[in-house]
Amino acid sequence: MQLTSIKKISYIQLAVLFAASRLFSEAMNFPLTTVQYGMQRFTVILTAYAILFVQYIPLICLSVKYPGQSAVGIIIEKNKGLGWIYTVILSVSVLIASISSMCRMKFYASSTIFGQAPEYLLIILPLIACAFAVWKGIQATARSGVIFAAVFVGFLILVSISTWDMFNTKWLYPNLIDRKDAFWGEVAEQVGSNSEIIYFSVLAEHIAEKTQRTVFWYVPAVMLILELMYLLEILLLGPFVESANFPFFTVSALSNIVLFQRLDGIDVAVWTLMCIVKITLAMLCIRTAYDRLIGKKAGLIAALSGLVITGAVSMAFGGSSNFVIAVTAILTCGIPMLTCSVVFPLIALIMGKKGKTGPKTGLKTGIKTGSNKNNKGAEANV
Amino acid sequence: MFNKKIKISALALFFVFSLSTLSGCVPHTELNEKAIILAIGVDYEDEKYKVMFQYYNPTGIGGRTLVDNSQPNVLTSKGEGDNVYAAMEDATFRCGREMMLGVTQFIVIGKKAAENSVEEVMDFTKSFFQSHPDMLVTVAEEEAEKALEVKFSEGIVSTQKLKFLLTNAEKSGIVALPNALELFTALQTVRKSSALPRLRLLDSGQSDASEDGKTLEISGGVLINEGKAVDEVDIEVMSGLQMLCCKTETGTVTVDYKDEKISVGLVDIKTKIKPSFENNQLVLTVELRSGGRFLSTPKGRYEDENNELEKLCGDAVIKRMESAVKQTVFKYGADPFLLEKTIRHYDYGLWQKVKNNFGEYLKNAKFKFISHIEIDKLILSE
Repeated sequence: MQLTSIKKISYIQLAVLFAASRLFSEAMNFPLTTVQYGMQRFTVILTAYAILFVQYIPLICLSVKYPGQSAVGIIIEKNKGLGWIYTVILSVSVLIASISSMCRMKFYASSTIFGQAPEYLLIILPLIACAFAVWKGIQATARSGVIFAAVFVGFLILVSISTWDMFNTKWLYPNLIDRKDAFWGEVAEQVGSNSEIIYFSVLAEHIAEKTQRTVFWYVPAVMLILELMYLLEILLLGPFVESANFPFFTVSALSNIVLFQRLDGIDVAVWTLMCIVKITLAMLCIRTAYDRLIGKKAGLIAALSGLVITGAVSMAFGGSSNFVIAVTAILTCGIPMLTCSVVFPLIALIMGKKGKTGPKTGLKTGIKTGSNKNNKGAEANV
Repeated sequence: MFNKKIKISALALFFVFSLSTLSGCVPHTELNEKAIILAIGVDYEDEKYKVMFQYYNPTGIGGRTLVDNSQPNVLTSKGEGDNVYAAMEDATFRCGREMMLGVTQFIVIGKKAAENSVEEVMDFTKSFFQSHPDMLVTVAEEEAEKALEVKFSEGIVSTQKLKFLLTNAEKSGIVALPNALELFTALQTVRKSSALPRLRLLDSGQSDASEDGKTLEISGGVLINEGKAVDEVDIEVMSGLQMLCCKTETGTVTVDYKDEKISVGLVDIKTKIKPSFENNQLVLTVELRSGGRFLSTPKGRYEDENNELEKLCGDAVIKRMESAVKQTVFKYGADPFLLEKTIRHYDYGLWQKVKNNFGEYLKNAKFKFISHIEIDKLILSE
């Protein structure tokens, strides 16, 4: 069987994919954690993304030192046993992220505009799209992800323009830290929710060149968009931001442009599609890791199995908010993130030093470079 | 061979899932099975909430004209329950249609329900994400049900007539259009205060505006403090509150000058409130600026006497605002014009000082009023 290959994408494409994935989670602010009204949120976002950047440093070093490779690829290549451990931890982490995302999306879509749609359809249809995206590889996902991210930002601008006359700047006040006791908790939650760093530890090997630049674009861009989104929420909702279950949905419901009386319906549709990007990225991580370990076909089967598990768990337990709270808490505690994207990449750096690593050594990274007649340009057939 | 099998399986799967998305296989509701709710009235009696909603009657259209006058274009349904949500469900059950709040324009809260808890009444909208945050909220002088039963002969549905009433009142500077979002925001503040327009049912039997001789008028407002209605206020107080809220840009004042009643239209009203703290007392300096235009032509020519007329107009406006402050802030420690926001915005340190005992500080606050009204001289030139 001829499997569809995962081709190379540019660092900008991966940065936009990550941004789409992150913005989906932020837009669907699931009512698990309450967003507090206050200027502190601006400082929390700023601090959290500064810390996040620091967390990316081991992966940045790895990308600079071993271009075209990932932490998981290096570890598997050096020590298969450790590679298995890393892959299993990584798979569980990304599975938790995709289950949490799917449950959020289902709850959000069924609570807002798709109230009548059977819940199983809200799970199965996106998962079929995800399966197709996993089959097609990261390049196809990147193309659609870029469109979704552009539409998201476009609608953000439209919402801002159409609601500007309702802005009340007096809801802003000059105190950037007003709940000191809760500050670091909020920062930790904001940092911990960034599962994209785990994806980067695997998907870095699909970047054609200058992999580290993904982080230089992604982190500041998402931080800026989040600050703008929160500013919009504060200017329009004031302290109501605390008790609105989905503040950004309420904001888009207020928008009223010439053609559309309210933009919330379209927004929900776009955000739902962005969920597909997030889950697909998680599954591409599984595909890439198992591909390295046990071969191409096994990688694809593992990713599709991941989708089945995501669907089954979401259908079985997705209706329980306690379950979703518990699952999300595993992610936001920061352990999966630190393990997969700090500890193991550091191990990969140390292991890499012990012996030559990379395409030139002819190791089984699967990356073929140069002007080989069968592989024009750089391509990773995993 | 294997590839062909995959393709056939994929096609089969596609058809199976396509069937599940078709309306015949999925539970759905046709538009005429929905109760498209236009207005909701909420009353409270014997510790039970009673709800009556007006919903659109599709049989009322389709005649030679847009609306077939032989058919009522809105129908009503009633229900009761321990909370508004339960009462709404009961009313939906009785009318046999699925409720849709996407186009609900109006919520009328009965006097007793408002006295019990406005917060409790409004809480139900948070469960209905489709409800528009722009819908208007008023309080009926007696029962909300009676206010919604008036059959106006003008306007397609009576909610439109009610909306016109409020829009006109807003243009005259009597009330600001009180939307649900503003009420939610006010209910999130420390004092949970607001002022909602009050609807009075007139049963003179002489009105041409409705089929049953009944009509509605805006008779003033209702002061909400700590989440519940505490007092009725007159039109002068409501007008003063709108000026203090900076919500109104237009208004009218009538002053006695040289044995003549002169009406001046106020345009482009801008109010600024600056907080300070003196002798353990909250001091609020209110500065009002506005343009003015003569609405009735003065008998004499007062071109050189504008300063005196401007002062008289200013005094009349200040009197209105003073009356509003006495009836709401001094009497109840209420904060219907969101001083909390102003204090926090201008002086966060002061807000920290007063927030724990804000009600008492408001009761003992000192207000300084300054007005600058400039009457347009061009009107007077011959």
